[in-house]
Amino acid sequence: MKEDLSPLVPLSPAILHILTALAGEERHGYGIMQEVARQSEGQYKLGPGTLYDNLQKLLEHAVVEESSRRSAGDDPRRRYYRLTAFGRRVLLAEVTRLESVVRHARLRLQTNNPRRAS
Amino acid sequence: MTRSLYRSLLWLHPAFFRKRFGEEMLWIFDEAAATQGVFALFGDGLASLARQWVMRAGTWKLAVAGAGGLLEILMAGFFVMGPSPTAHVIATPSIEDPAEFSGTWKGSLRSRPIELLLAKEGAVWTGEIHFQSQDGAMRSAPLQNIRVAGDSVRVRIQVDDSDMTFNGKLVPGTLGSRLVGAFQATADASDDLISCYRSDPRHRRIESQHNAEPMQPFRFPNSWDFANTRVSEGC
Repeated sequence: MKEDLSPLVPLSPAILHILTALAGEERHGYGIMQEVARQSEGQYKLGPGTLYDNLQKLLEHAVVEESSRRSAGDDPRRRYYRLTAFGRRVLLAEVTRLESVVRHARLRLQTNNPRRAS
Repeated sequence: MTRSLYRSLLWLHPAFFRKRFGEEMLWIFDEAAATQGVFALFGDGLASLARQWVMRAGTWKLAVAGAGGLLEILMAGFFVMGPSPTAHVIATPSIEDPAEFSGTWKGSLRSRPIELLLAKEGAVWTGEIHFQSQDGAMRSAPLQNIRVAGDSVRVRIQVDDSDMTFNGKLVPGTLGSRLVGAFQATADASDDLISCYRSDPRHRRIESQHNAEPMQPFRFPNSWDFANTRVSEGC
């Protein structure tokens, strides 16, 4: 049976960046912020308020879950987050949707060369 | 100074969000203030504050209800020359179906704190339990099976071997909502959170009062009621 991801997809830019940051490995909040800045080459900077506002939503929808990982010397205030299996499917659905958008946009740009009406 | 201001900003957030993410946000402020700049972090914190109260906490519904009630009063005054008798009902949140709620219940187990957070966000009730385990570490777990009927609430919490239920009432207030009620807990002897109560002499009394299973050596189903700290000492 096909999963209904329509309440979640399309993703907001902040959520797309957060899920992408968590796709590779589990990270703590500050790590997510740093990864988002890195992957967007500094063009998209996430503040802690925006981050946790979105993480709250993602936790509620079981897209992201808290990990029990703790490293020696970690600040006790740190909590690690990771993508759930459902979260991976949500991210995959969004990537597929974006690929389709890009494909259509490229097609339009190729077929409709700008012409001036004579 | 800026850290204190940022902490104050966090305190203005709804209780559920603050308890869940406040310490982490403060930690990020400590880490990122030098690189991101405090003004950017304050701007982001203010935007988060607005989002939490306006969009997430459902305050906008009360604002719309209040505006609707005011409009109805004005319309009634214009057409009938008198206020509508239903205007006040529209503007007041009903306890039968609270549009929003965010409250806490605090108690303790053998002087170790235990706290319940319960909130309604949109149409969904969510919550968490925070408690200190025997090794001193703070632990938390989501509330399960939250059932709300009118102002009555029943919550089930399962942590390790312990199985707890909370029966209480929602008490909304203009200066903040709260929960009142009592726990009933069941656990086996290996339970980390509440096993110390097996030797509590009051435990037997409480059991007998509630007609629970008789105590067995080494392993027994424990069952008792307590409200806040009333039966939490003397373990």
